Amino acid sequence: MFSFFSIHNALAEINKISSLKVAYIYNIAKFTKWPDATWQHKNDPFMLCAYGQDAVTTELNTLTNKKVGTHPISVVEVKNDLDYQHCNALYISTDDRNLYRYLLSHINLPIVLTLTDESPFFESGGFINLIEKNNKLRFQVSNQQLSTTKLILSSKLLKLSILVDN
Amino acid sequence: MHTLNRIFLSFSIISLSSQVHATEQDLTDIDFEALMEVEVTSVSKKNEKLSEAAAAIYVVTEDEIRRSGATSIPEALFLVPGVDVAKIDSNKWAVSIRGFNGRFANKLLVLIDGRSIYTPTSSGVFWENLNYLMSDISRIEIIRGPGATLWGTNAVNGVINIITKQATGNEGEITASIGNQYKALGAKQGGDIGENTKFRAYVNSKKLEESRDLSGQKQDNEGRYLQTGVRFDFNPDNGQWLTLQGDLFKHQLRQQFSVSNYSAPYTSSIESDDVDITGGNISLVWGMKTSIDSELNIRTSFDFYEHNDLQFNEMRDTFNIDVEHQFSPYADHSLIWGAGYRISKNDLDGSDSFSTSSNIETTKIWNLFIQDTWKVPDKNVSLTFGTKIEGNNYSSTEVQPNVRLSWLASKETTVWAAISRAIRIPSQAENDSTITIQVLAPSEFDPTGTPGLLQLVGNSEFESEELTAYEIGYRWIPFSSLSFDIAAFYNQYDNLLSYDIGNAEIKTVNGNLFYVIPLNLDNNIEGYSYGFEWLATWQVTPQSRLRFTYSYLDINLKDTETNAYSNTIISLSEDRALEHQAAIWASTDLYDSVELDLRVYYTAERSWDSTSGDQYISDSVDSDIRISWQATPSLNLSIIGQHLLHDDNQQFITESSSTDSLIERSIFFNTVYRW
Repeated sequence: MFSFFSIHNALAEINKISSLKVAYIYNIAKFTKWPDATWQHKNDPFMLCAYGQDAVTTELNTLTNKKVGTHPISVVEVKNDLDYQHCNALYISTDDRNLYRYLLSHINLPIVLTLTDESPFFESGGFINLIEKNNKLRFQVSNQQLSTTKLILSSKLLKLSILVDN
Repeated sequence: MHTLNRIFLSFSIISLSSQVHATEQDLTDIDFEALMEVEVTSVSKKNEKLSEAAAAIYVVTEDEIRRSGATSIPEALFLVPGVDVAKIDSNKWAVSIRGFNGRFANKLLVLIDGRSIYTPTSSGVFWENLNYLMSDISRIEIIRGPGATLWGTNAVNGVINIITKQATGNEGEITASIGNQYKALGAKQGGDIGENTKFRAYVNSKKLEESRDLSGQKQDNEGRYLQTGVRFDFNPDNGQWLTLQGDLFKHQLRQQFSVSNYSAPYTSSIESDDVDITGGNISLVWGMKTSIDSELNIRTSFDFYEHNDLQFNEMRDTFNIDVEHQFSPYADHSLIWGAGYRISKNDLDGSDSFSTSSNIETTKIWNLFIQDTWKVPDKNVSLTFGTKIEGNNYSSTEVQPNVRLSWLASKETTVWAAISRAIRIPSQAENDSTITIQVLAPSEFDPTGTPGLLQLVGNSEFESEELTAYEIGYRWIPFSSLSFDIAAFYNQYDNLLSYDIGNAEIKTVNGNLFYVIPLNLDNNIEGYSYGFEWLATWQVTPQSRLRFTYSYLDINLKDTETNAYSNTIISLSEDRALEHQAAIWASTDLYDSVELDLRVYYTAERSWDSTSGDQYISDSVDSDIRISWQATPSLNLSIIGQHLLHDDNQQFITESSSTDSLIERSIFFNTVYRW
């Protein structure tokens, strides 16, 4: 019962959840459309900002130079107020509600794809939230919050999502 | 601010980037639909965050509270690694960390939403006063070891920080339980007031049945509890927040007392009486974020309680104010500093066996603290150092520094070490009180036939108890489904409470002549304790989790002024503590709607070599179980069994003046309806 063999075996089938979340974030970004004026040149970087206290923030770096549309991803770890002024997407993982609200209040919400991770504060803002459901990873989309932005989510993305309307 | 943030202020952005291993398989190349079929297993997000803290910290999550079947805060703390939770009788609890447990364990700081709830009368906590709805508790953070630098008074052997949920708007719940030992009815309702303000109000009542005495007879100690409260959370859009919350409670308990008889035949007898408890609190917290890494908080609270029983009537009012400011003065540094003031006024009416020199007494405590966390760039090392200066009107001003080091040896491994000093300030009773602990019949050799009286006598020169703690810890997450957390400590104690036998005098007490033998409180006990706590969590399958805990503790004390009572007081700490505690907790989800939790636990023996007779409780294995069925999205039914392997069991040895109890097996059904 306690043999390490069985643990390894289990792991071979079950990927690390943080890697999976990173893959989700990448896919969600790929199926999102930003306003045309967002980038001046087609080679301008896609600024993927991350604030978090978890492994996902760290692993997002593996996305560096992968492309969203024509734009190579540049990952920015948010450490101070200046770091997230130019984000195209912002990943937030925190259990501090006040920090969460502070971060959201300082970005240009209509043109930033906000992603949260099992956020207990989803109703306070942000429009995509990763959640675990029946041992599979899923993502919630708040239609109401989305409608206040200039972003368009592909119909495929919306079909895979769990819509929540508050 | 959260415990985690305090302990390890800026671990949020650890520069681990250099350590990211080449991912086993690049999931980003896989089609989205296929990704959605991947099954996930992880020990929990919690472990990831905790793994970097430079302290022995454990968080009881909302899930764990629910799945444990806990009906009270002490029950939620049961089986937390390194925490000793014992039920003394129907209504009373003994809770401590790393030893020195008792009805009023005094080397522990307990906070509810940042409000310290220990009473300066005894330096302990009236656990029975707390009757919150368990579903309103967001989490309980537990630090084993000193937390004195940042936290308040008494954070010597540990800190327990109970955090209730924010008001979340229009939600409600009714919960009802019925069982052989426990019946309860509670309700809550939330709502919105305007755009930025939410509130939640609750009421919770319960009835606890009598426990049995050691011969198996029912005791006269049932309890009826009623508590209500409300919380408002105001979150304007300008980065500030304001929380106003308060509770009111009225509990009517019965209790058996061992009462000294001041006339022939001078033997003590058991008497029952009402214990009436009323109380409440109100607190206001204002805070704001001034940048991503800086925050200012001001917390004020007023707290009152009235406790009336056979031995004393007490009314206490406490006012508290705390200010704290956290910011980042330089890159890689996170600084927190603050100040606090607490004033507590007591009006105490004693009895034949308990008196103080004056009825009204005021306790004042102030503190200043500062702590910096330096994340050494590119070294994966974090160094925390700080100190607190604390003063009070009973003893001298004390400095309580700590140094903590945390090293992320690899992505899966954290090693930490800490050295800290903490003090426990004198309680009002230690400073000024006279407590009769035993009436002695006249000796047959005494021709005058004068009875004797053994009295504990408070000491206005009583000093703070002192601890220097050396701790190391190791955390290892070899796989995302398996984690280990081990902490070891060596605690050096000084100035602990001792009894000095004074000269017997003939005095008139309660109208009769007695040889009064005073046991003067002093600070002559010193010594050390050491031990370790071990936690392993294994997510066996996505639906099933196993958790193993074991803790070991050895306390060694000596009285530098040895006398006939040295052994009594030393044994109370050394032998009554649990040397071993172990538990296995298996959780599994059957289907999607059924939760099954089985807990099997071992507690070592307790004993007390007391001058008035030795006492002993043998070690035991016992078990709790909970089965819950989410019948509909709003309706949950569960059955909970506690201490199932014995009809009844003694869990704790009480100090004098209380009576020992057997705690019966408890089985109850619970229904929760949410909307």
